[in-house]
Amino acid sequence: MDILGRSALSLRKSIKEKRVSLKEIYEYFLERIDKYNSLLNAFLTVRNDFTKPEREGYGYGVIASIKDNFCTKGIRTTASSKVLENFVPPYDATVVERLKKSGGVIIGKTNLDAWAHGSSTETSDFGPTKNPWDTTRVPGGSSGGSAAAVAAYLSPVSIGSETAGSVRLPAAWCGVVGFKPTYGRISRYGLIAMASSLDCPGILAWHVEDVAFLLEILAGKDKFDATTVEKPVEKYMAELENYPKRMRIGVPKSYLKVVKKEVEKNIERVARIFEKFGWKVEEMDLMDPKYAISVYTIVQRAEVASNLARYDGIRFGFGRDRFGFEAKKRIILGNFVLSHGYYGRYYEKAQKVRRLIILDFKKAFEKYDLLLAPVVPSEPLKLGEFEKYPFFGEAMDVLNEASSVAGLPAISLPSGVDKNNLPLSFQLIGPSFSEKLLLQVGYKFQKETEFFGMREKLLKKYP
Amino acid sequence: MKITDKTLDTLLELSGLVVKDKKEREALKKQLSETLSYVENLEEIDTEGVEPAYFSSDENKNQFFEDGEENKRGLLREEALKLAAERYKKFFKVKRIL
Repeated sequence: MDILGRSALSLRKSIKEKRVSLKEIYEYFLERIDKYNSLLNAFLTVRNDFTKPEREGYGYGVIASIKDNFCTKGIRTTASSKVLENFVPPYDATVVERLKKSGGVIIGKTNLDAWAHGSSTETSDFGPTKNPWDTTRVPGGSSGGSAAAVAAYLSPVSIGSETAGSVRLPAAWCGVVGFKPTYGRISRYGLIAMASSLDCPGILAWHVEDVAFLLEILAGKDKFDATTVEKPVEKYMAELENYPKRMRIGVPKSYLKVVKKEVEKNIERVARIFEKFGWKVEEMDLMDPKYAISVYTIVQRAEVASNLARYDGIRFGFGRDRFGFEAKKRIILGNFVLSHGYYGRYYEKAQKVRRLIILDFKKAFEKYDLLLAPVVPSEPLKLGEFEKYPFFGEAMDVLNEASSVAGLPAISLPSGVDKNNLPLSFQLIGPSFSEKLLLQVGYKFQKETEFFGMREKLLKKYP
Repeated sequence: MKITDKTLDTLLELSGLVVKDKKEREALKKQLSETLSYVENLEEIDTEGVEPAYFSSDENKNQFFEDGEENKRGLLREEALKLAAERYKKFFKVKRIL
C-alpha cells in the first residue's frame, strides 16, 4: 500500500477498514525516522517499540510526534535544554493525555530551540534541526523539529507550541500547514511554561483536514489551566467544506513593508486566488509591527524570568549552571524590566501598548473577516546566518508577534516554491475563536491549489 | 539604556545565575543594551489613560476546586522524590541555606 505523504485521516481510514494495521504504519514511520533523522535531527527521542493505544476512540489510528516541551509521562522531556536532559515527567500534558485517551499514539519527541527561545531551532542544546528542503538552512523555530518531521513525512502530524510565531514560522519555512489557535482554546497544562500569557499549543501537518481533526481532539476547557475557555469546541471536521461564499479579507500594508520583494509578490498571487473564489481582498492599515516586537520582547522576557526561576536542580533536572546563553540573556532582561524603578517604564508600558494592539485588531475585524499577511520576511536562512540579524533573528517573528500578544488564532499555509526551490507561504489571522473559519478557508485553498504539488516535490527527496 | 557591569551583577544575582567568562559577560551587556534601546520605540506611542492588558482576554476567571475533590495533579511521595538530585529519607536534600 502506498503510504507516503498521506494524511493521518486517510491512514486512519485504512486502519479502520483493516487494510493495514496500526502497527505496520507505526513501523513504516519508524523506518523513515531511522533513515532520515540522522540528516535532519528532527527527533530527540524516538519510541522504538510500538505500544497499543489505550483505546480505539475517535483518534484511533493517529500517529503523532510531540514537541519536546510537552510533558510525556515516562518519556524523557528536555525542552532541548541540558537542564532537563534527564527529566522523565511523572505526568502527561493535557494535550498528550487527550491524544492518548482518544486512541492516538506518540512516535517521538521533536527538537526545538532550548526552552522554545528562538526562531531557528539552532539554540537547541542537542544540535540544530535541518530544513528538509535544503539541509544547509534552518527549519525555523522554535517548533523546528516538528515542522521538519512533518515536511519529510517522519510523522504525519505533530503537536507544537507557539508563543509568537513558533508554529507558523517553522511551518512556513518547511512548507507545511501550521495552526495556532486562540489563546485559551487548547490547554497549556504540562507544556513547559515559557511566557504564560502567550503560550499556546499548535498543530503542524501536510493536510488541513488533519489539523481540524486534531483540534477537535485537543481543544476545550481544562480545569488544570484556568485560562482555557468554557466555549464549546466546534465541529471543525463536519463543517470543513462549508466555506463562506462572501468574505472580506484585509492585507495590512505595514506588514508588506518589512518583507522581501518575492514574499510580497507571493501575497499578491494568493490575493488573486482568493479573488477568484469571489472574496474581496484589499489593503488596509494596521499598527506598525515594530511596536509589537517591543511589547513582545518585554512581556516575554518578564514571564520567562518568572517561569524559569523554578529550575533549581533540587526536585528534578540539573542546576542553573546548565542554562545556555539565550536563556540566561532572557532571564536577565526579564528581571531588569520587572525591577523596581523600571517596571512602569518597560513592563507596564508594554502591557498598555498591548491593549492598543488588541483594540487595533478588534477594529480591523469589524470590517474584515480575516487578515492575509506574510508569515516571515524572507526565505529560510542558512545555518548560522541568524547571528547577522538584529535581535539575533528574532526579528523574523515580526509578523507574528502582534497577533500573538492579542491572543488571536492564525493559520500558516504553503503556497508554492521560489526560484531556489524553497517554500513560500502566507498566513491568515482571524478574530478570537474563528478557528472554524480559518480551517474552512485553509481547506478551500488546499483543495483549489493542492499546495502547488509541494509535498510530492519534497518527498521525492525523501522516498 | 546601557547595561553596566554593576547592573549586570545585580541582575545575575536576582536571576540566580553566575557568569564569570569575560567574553560572555561582554556579549550579554552588548545584546541587553541593544534590546533595551530598541524597545524604547514604545515611547512614541501615547498610552495616556490606557489600561494595561496582562492577558489577551479580560475574561479569565480563577479556577476553584471543591473541598475533597480528587486531586488528579497530585503525585505520590515516591513519584515526586524519584527525580530528586539528592534525597534524605523522605525528603529532598538541599544545600545549606543559612
